Amino acid sequence: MNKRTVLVGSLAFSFLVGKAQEHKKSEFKVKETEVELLYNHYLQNGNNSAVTGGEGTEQLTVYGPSFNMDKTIGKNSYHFQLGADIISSASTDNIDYVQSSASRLDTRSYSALTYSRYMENTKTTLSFGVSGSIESDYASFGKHLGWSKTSKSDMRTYSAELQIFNDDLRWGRLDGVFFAEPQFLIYPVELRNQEWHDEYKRDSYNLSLGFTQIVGQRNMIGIFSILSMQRGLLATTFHRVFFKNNTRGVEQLPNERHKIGVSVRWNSFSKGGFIFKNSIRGYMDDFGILGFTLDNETAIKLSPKWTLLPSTRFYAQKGAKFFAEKGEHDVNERYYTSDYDLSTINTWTFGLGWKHWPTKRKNKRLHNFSFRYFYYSRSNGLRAHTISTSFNLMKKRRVKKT
Amino acid sequence: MNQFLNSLVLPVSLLFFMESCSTILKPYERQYINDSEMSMTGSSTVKFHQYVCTIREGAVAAEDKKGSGGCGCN
Repeated sequence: MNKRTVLVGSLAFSFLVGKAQEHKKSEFKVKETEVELLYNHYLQNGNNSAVTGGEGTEQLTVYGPSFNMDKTIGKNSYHFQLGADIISSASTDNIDYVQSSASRLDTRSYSALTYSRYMENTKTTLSFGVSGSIESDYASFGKHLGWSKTSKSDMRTYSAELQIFNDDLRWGRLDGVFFAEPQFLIYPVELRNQEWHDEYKRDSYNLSLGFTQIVGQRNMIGIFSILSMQRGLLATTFHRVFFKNNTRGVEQLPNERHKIGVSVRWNSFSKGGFIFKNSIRGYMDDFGILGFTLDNETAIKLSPKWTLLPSTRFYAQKGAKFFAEKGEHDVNERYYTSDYDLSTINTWTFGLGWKHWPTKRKNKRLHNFSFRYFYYSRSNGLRAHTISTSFNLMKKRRVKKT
Repeated sequence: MNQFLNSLVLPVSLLFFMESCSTILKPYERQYINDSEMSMTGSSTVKFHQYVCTIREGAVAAEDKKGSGGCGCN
């Protein structure tokens, strides 16, 4: 046997094997299940409650367990979320000044389901989903439709998402029986002699657009924007307003609001295992609010198993034109609020956390564990503490296509 | 709307400039970009705090998708 015969024979064999491997690859698909158990704990204190007209306790505790599941089977992905925020609020207790009223301990329950399909030929993902949440003073039903596309070179992504929320702000769903028929809008106890609002529905439409670009081996830039429109009852019906002439009323806001937000994000993987995630955001709406945010999250890779997560955030806001402090509003004004969330403020957030990867192999069950603490300070004296813990479990395997 | 379009001019110009500077990465050059911490979407432990911020402040962040409706009245 001469050398040429051996060479040709070897090449023919390698093509045969190559073809066989390609065929084998298409017979299998990846099946991945990721489960996250999350607990959020939130403590807040301040002295500018909108329920008591801009003065009064804002003490609040939220206990927030949540369950998230992501399942991917080949090109199909499913996301399911179920959670509750159990709220102990001193301020909503002052709606009727009854210390043991139903408003003292409230629960916000929420759930979401999303389906996504990835189309390999066009590198496009389409998704749609529904969500719902319920609390004693509202029920919300949401729908969303999403699209994202990665460029041929995998250097760029484009995304768009439309979200629609339909809210009903009547009280009484969680009174005694779960999902009871909603009864009425709730007003402060001394102001129930008249109907202050004839609308009880709120519809929100959000259009988000995103664009990301990889720049070199260590940098990624993203530009995001949101256009939002809300219609219906935008005021909170149990927020008191105290006028100059010592009379009282219920918060009044326009029935339509348009919001625009733009954000630029820069993620950078520096030498020494430092990852800097910086963002700058701008916001404006037709209530007259202007917002500006600077945000930094840093991930410091101490080892392959441990990551330290410090963060800082600064936010400055020019308040809504309808805001005034307690006793400052004129009774002849059309719209008025003393809600300090809509006032001229600036806020600081300082955060620290860590993430732990207990094993190097990703197909083990406990994928990672993370802990985060945030301290939040607002210029009007409101202080808040947030603790979040997350256990992330993952199972990944290759299964034969049926 | 004009203000919104004007505010987009700088970031879009920046992006096209960055794009012209970038070269296509090969799969083995993506170890930093593909790191989970480089994701543009925040982790769920950060999302709860972002949700709090949307209630305690008047603004909404452009890249944080709203999970569910709510009164945010507490």
